[in-house]
Amino acid sequence: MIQVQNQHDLGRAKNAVQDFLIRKLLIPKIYLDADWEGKRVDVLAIDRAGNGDVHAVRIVDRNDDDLPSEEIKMMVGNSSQELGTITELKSLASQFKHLAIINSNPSIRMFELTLGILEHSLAADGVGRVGILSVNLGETEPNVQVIYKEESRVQVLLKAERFRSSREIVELADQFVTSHTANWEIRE
Amino acid sequence: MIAIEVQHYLNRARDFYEGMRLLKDDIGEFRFSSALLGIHCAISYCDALRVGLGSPKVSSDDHRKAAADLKSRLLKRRFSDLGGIHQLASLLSEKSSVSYSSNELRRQDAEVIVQQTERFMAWAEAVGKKLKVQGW
Repeated sequence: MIQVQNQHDLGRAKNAVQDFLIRKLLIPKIYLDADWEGKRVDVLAIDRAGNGDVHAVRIVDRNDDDLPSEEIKMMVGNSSQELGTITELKSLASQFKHLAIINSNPSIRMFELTLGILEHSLAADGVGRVGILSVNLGETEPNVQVIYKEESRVQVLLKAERFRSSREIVELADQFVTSHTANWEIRE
Repeated sequence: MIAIEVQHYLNRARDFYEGMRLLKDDIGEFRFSSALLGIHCAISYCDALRVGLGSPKVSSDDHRKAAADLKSRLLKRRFSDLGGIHQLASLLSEKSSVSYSSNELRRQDAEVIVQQTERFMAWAEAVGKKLKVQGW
């Protein structure tokens, strides 16, 4: 039963992230559960009708039962799950990378941005940052919020910053668009 | 130099699109605005393509001739996917009516214009990339 609930949460989160990207990008092509260079991407968006930058989104469910007990779940603020996913995202071939977090279980501590996460989200050379999104599943209408951090009276928005582009990314995107049917697109 | 001009028209087109996108959520209240922004978005995309394909001047000419000019420039490049030309011509034909006519613009008419704009954009983006238009 819990597994079914988690699967439903994940599915609704994918739709919410898709809606977020439709609004953020310029008529993108969007793919769910994409196999991108052999790695799973929950939501993949290619901007400008499949001709622009690639946005890769991995979703982490903090309600995931991989952690052994409620006590440990409570202790683990920013679990290794988020850090690990950020590491994986950074190795993905895409210009923009986003971590989307579902936090549907009130008994688990809410995700908090820490200095460690902020530093870890940056590319090694500083060109690019993994963006972090919080998905609020709500009862009826899921939506995506960008997480803010209160810092010395200044609200810092942690938004995705563009990673370096490459011929590899462009060719991957071209091949992908040609060989896959988008889950959402504006058809000519 | 061409690349800079193409970028100028593309930026303008995307700016109009952002405005249209904001208004289309409440299209019942902003029928004229969303429709007109959509039409201007299409005109700017058309200008970007025409300049990128060698048209010397696009700013003040008759927009009704724009679709024909773009079509002939695409045919000269032996580009066969002309699907967007029909949408562009349809959008351009609505410009005067939306801008100046005393007739009411129905909600469904505005929705059709917004949809045609989005389809034309998808086509124009693909054309710009396929033809390697400078500045695209």
